[in-house]
Amino acid sequence: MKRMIRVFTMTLAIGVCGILTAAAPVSEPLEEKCSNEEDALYCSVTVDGNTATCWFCDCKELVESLK
Amino acid sequence: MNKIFIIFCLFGLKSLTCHCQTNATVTYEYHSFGGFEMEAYLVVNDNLSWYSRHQQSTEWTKNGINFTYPKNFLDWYYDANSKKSFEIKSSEGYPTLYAEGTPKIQWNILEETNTIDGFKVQKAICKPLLNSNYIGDVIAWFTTDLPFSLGPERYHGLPGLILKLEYSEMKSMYVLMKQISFDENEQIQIPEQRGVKVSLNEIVNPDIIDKKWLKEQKKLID
Repeated sequence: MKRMIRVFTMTLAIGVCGILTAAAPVSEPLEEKCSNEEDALYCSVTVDGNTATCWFCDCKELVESLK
Repeated sequence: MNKIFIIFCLFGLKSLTCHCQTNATVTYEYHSFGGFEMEAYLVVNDNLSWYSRHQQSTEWTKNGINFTYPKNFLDWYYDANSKKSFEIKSSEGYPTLYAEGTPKIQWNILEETNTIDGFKVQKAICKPLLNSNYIGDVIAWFTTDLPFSLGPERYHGLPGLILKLEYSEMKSMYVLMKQISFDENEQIQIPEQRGVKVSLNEIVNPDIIDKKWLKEQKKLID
């Protein structure tokens, strides 16, 4: 049951980020949409085209860990 | 006494030839987040210079974080005589981009000094060319011992060569001089094929380019 919930949540998270990617204007890259949300399921930070991503992580912690 | 004078003159001449070379190759270590490291090069040939960083596509995972570094070939040419520059960039997912013009950099030179690889360096700060919420200001450490008004990643215009370039908010990202060689034979070849012409800001930050327009431009070139 727990596994099913996890798979469902992952699928939902992929879907959410997919929608955000499709909906985001060209001038606003995906990372700005995801990483600024405190309880996001998926975080992404891009600088100069290079990207760091993590699932089910704290976005602020991701940014801190990259510094 | 005359002999001493001649010896002093010879040392003086040697010193001048060491510091007033117009041809040099600077090897930089380029570091980025996730422990990424590669080499970048700055070639100076009289008044013409060429900075190249050819990053190959790579992916890895560290501490639960996935890192994706796409292919990104950057070639920046600068003519110190005309103070004009142009850049060619080949990035994954984009056609080859080309931009003319020189970035206007407002340097704030500070009193703080340090030593890098035996060279006395001085600190200077400017706003980054990259659009990013994460990196903060650009900090350059330059030396007047090497009188090239140049540096890595398009940063130039200081009274000496930039030996280290770092960011105030992202210390894992920096470019550091690894070695410098004075090679008379190093020639800069300017390529003919240049790609889709975009603005300076667009070539540095290709995410802001209208993808529809870019697709049309690529069709015209092909």
